[in-house]
Amino acid sequence: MDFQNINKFDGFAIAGTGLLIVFVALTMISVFIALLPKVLAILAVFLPPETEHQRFSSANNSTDDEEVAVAIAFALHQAELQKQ
Amino acid sequence: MEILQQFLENTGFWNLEIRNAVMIVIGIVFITLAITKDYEPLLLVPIGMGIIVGNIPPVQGMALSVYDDWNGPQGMQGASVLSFIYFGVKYGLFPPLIFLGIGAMTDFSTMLSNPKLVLLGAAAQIGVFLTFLGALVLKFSGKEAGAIGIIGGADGPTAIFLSAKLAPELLGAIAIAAYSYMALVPVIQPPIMKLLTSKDERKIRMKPPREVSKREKIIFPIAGFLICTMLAPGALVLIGMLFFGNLLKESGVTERLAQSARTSMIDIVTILLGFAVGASTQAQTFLRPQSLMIFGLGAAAFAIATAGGVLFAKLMNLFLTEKINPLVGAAGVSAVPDSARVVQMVGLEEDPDNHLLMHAMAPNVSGVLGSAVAAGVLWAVL
Repeated sequence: MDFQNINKFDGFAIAGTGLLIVFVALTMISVFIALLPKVLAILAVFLPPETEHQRFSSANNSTDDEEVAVAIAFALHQAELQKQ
Repeated sequence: MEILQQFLENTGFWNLEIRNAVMIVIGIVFITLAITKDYEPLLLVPIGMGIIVGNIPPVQGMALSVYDDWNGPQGMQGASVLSFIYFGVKYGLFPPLIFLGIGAMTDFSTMLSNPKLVLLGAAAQIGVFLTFLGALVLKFSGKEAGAIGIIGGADGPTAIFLSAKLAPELLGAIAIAAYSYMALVPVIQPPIMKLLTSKDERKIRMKPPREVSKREKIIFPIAGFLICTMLAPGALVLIGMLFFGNLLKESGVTERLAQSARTSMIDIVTILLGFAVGASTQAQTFLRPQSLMIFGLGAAAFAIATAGGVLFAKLMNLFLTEKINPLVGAAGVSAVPDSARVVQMVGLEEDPDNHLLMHAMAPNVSGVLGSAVAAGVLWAVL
């Protein structure tokens, strides 16, 4: 173990500066995120209304998750019918 | 007889050293753990197979290993197939492509709905920088220490990217340490979380996250990219690809591209990356005392990162009226989504009706940003 190696490579300065930059970057992101809804609310008068973009309507383009969800729902429905 | 003897002397059995055999066993162990225990199988199977492939003894005059590249005397003719695959690791091509896929599958809405949780991702990066100092104490050079420290970011592609830039000779050990500890997050984190929090703190319930508009989700990747890279230009490639992938997902007009990025593309790159990293862990470069130290530092990195996130959450609670459950701080360790699941699990042990998963996803994804920024900083200064 060699604690002098930390000074040799400016370890404390690099660690301190690095952590500071990470905190500053994520703090700025946090502040931006906090202000964004307020800014968008003010600009809402000038911005076009939000619309959902057309998704592919073909069944072949459904995601695996949607297909799994449909399969599970069908199985549960069948189980309920059998109980009755 | 001479020809037969020459053939025998060129076989792997003849040239096998004990340490290569040990590495082959390690590769088999990785594959076994992946298949039987479901430990990060998408990574450990390619890595394990790569380890086995990379430790078959080389044959004189044949370019077979990842290190037989085009820089030798025979140029391209002397380059092995594995070296071309390893190109993507060595020159930092694969990790940004993986980040593209990660961005295309990441939902930042939990982070957007509760911005103060972003700071927990920053706090967890203390694991990176304290491990960096620890590596310096253990007599690693500055660049090596930086590459080892990034294990604390708990992000495989980031660790591979930075070690390829700073200390390629340690890449194998760092990558395997990073992915091994990511798989062990459910083992490493809970004791630390329970040690640093009281029962009452673990029971804190948080307000449900608000609805985030589509416009916010589209603006965020562009703004987030600009903020991060203006401060840390070294993070340009990783952050840029992460947010590009996210923009593909959130824009709503490039679903085909987003779908390809988060499925086929990321799977292909994961296969090549894992295999090449495994193949680079030849016994001659991997089985050294430094590798043991790297594994020790890696464990410390994860522990410190977990503690850093939890303690920072407790610090924030001193100033907040709406308290944060400090367990959520542990999710700042950016092993997405495992550390968020660990938070959920530990929270449910105290209160079966307290679901912390969605809250934990916020620091989890901000931890990805934090570790990429940390990598950018370390690359820039070292």
